[in-house]
Amino acid sequence: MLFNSLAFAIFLPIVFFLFWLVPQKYRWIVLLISSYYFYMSWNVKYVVLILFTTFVSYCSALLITRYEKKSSKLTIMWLAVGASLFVLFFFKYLDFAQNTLIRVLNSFAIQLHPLTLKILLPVGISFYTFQTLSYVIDVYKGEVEPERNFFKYATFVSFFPQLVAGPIERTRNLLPQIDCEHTFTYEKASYGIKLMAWGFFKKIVIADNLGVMVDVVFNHPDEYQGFSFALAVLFFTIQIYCDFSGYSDIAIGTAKLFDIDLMTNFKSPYFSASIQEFWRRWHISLSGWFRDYVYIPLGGSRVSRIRHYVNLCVTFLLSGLWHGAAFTYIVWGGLHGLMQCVESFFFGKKLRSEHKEGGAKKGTLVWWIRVIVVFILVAGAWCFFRAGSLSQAVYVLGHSIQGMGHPLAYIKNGFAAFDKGALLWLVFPLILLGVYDYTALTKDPLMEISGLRKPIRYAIYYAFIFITLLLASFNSQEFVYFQF
Amino acid sequence: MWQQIAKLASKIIIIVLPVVVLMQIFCATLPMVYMDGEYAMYRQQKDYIAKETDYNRVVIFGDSRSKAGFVPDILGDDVYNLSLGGITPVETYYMLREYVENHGAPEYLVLAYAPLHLCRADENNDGCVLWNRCIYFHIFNQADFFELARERKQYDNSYMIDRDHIYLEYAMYQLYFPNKYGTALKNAFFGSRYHANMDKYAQMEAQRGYSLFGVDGVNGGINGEAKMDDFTYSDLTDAYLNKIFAYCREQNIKVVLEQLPMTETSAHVVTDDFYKHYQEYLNQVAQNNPDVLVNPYIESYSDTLFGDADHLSTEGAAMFSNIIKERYPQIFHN
Repeated sequence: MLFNSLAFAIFLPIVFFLFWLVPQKYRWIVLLISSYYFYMSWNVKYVVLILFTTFVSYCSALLITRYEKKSSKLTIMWLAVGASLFVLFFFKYLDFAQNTLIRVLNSFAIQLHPLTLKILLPVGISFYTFQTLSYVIDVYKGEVEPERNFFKYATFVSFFPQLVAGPIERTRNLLPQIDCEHTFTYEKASYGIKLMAWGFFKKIVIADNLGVMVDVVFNHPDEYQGFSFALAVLFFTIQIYCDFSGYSDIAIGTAKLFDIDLMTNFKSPYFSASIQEFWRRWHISLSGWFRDYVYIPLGGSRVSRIRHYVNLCVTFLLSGLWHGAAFTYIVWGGLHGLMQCVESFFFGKKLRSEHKEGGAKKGTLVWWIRVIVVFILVAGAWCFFRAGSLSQAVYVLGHSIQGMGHPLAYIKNGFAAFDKGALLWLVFPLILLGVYDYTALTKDPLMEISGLRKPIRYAIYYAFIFITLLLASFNSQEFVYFQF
Repeated sequence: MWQQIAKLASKIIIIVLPVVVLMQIFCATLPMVYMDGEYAMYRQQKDYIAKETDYNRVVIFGDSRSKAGFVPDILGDDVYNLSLGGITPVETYYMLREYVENHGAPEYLVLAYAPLHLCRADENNDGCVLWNRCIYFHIFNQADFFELARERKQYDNSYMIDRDHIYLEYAMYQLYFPNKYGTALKNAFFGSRYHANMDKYAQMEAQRGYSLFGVDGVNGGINGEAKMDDFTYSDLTDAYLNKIFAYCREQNIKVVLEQLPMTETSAHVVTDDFYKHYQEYLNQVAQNNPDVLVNPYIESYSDTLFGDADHLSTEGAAMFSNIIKERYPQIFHN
């Protein structure tokens, strides 16, 4: 059941009314049942996996607290982590691993044939696996108490707004909210609705329309050249952001309807003045996860410079691998690791002092130049993320500068690859996106709108609804991050 | 709490509903302003079938190739071309029934479909013509839709008809929901299509349903069949073809199943398997329906006689219509 589907438009109001209709102590049960129904709407069989992962992590956490000896706790923790990662590996990485192995062996003239298991990747497996892992590790570290009630814990793991594409919630934030006293407040629910509307706008107006143009070029790269590639990469850079942050906004907004606060997942990432800052603004729940459970345990930055760079690269390579079982994702992650190493080598001190002071001074010419440079670097890396293969990514990036010697023809031919009408229609939504995100650097744009005088506020609402209905792509296209 | 929920719900309604309703009213009342070019053809055909009562001795039903191939001005004064782009026997059956109710049974019914419109729906993109054209353009009767929806599960190819939440989906089209018509509105936002659609409508009336597809003097490329490996008939279209034959028997209408020509380029590309299985299918149809005159052979014409990869040009249509007139002198003699 996609957020941008008719089924969800029916499902959400039903769950909403049921949730507030039942007495306080049973509300989490409504969430549990609706979350499992939501998940099973993709494939009923998948429920076995989420139940397994939930059960293993639940039992492990209880066992960890039962044992006094640290080594026993550690063993249980690793067994739980191993079991969850095994499921993830089997469903997500087995094909990739065996194909890679066979390719390596073939190069040594050892012929092997791959097992064809035809395994479908269960939706959201990477997200809920990481959520359960963080729970077990946090319990092991003594940072959170284990949940005794299995069903309440299952609600925490399966909470439907964030189940299939995050934010990857931390135990201390979400678990207490599952069974706490919920109070409906008009302001919070209204804010949730506005956030959902903004998320839908990003998804169905910007991401889905840009996605069509991106697909045109990446599906037939041999038919395009020069600036068309640069534009396709630029469009994908915006598409992936609107798609994913759109999902997060809808998820956070939906949760607010149930008086539940999910963590912020995006903070205007394309207005970052460094790659480090980008990762503090992009997919915050995942980068926070990798920071806390991979980067810091590896030693973080409090080690020798070389070791620090190794830690960075390992963390980002794993982050790339988390996104997908393909070398394109690994290279994408590796590139981000590498860029951070280079950035740290040349500007480490400056960036650290900037971070302590709350980030680079915004709005200056230097800041804008840095934002543009970071944007170009991030966009270049996204090309690997989108491309079907490494060679295609290199081809697209390599050929994107072809014909630059004749700038006018280069630009004209580049735009000729796309439907001009569709492009023109996207100009206003893209400006709106830019203004919203720039405003979000210092204040909450939705709160700003709420503070406007009623006639202006309503005019904005009506215009927004009209533009969304007019420009939206209502084909219920999947969210890109569902595949992870 | 419920007061606050009611306040939130009413605010959502106050903000969303006026925009949605205004768009619905616009879409429902001014379709000629924003609908795409094919709308005028569908509208004219529907208006003619439902509102007129004149008698035609010969009526032609089929898809866009048929629309662009049979020229009533050449074929005779008592001939009307009621073909529409993308139409399969499924839609034809209901249109024919409505036609006969209002105009009386013709003496002859000529059917002509591109082979791909008789194929399994997953192998051609026009399989959704029922939804994307007929229901979208509001030319398919409600009672017919409900009959079709009830019967859809009998067929392997029911996904030509089927949709998730089929009745809700249908209601959204019926009520002109913006999620169904927003794209058409957007495309017509800066340039009304009213005059182009009205011109097309008038031209269709004047030429008794004939319309040129493609552009005269431009030809080449390969047609839909040339992009397919093989022909596998759809059990749904086959069933409705048989329903048409049965209905015609009841009404005493003689039926001819004709073939439109292909471009030479396409004819060379279409696989032997495709030809073979298509002809086998049509021979089977002829065997099962001895009262139906079936021509199983697809001819090829020079590419220069086509307006695009699929459709005959004005010159090609004239040549084809004259050949048809000579081939069936008992049908086309006025």
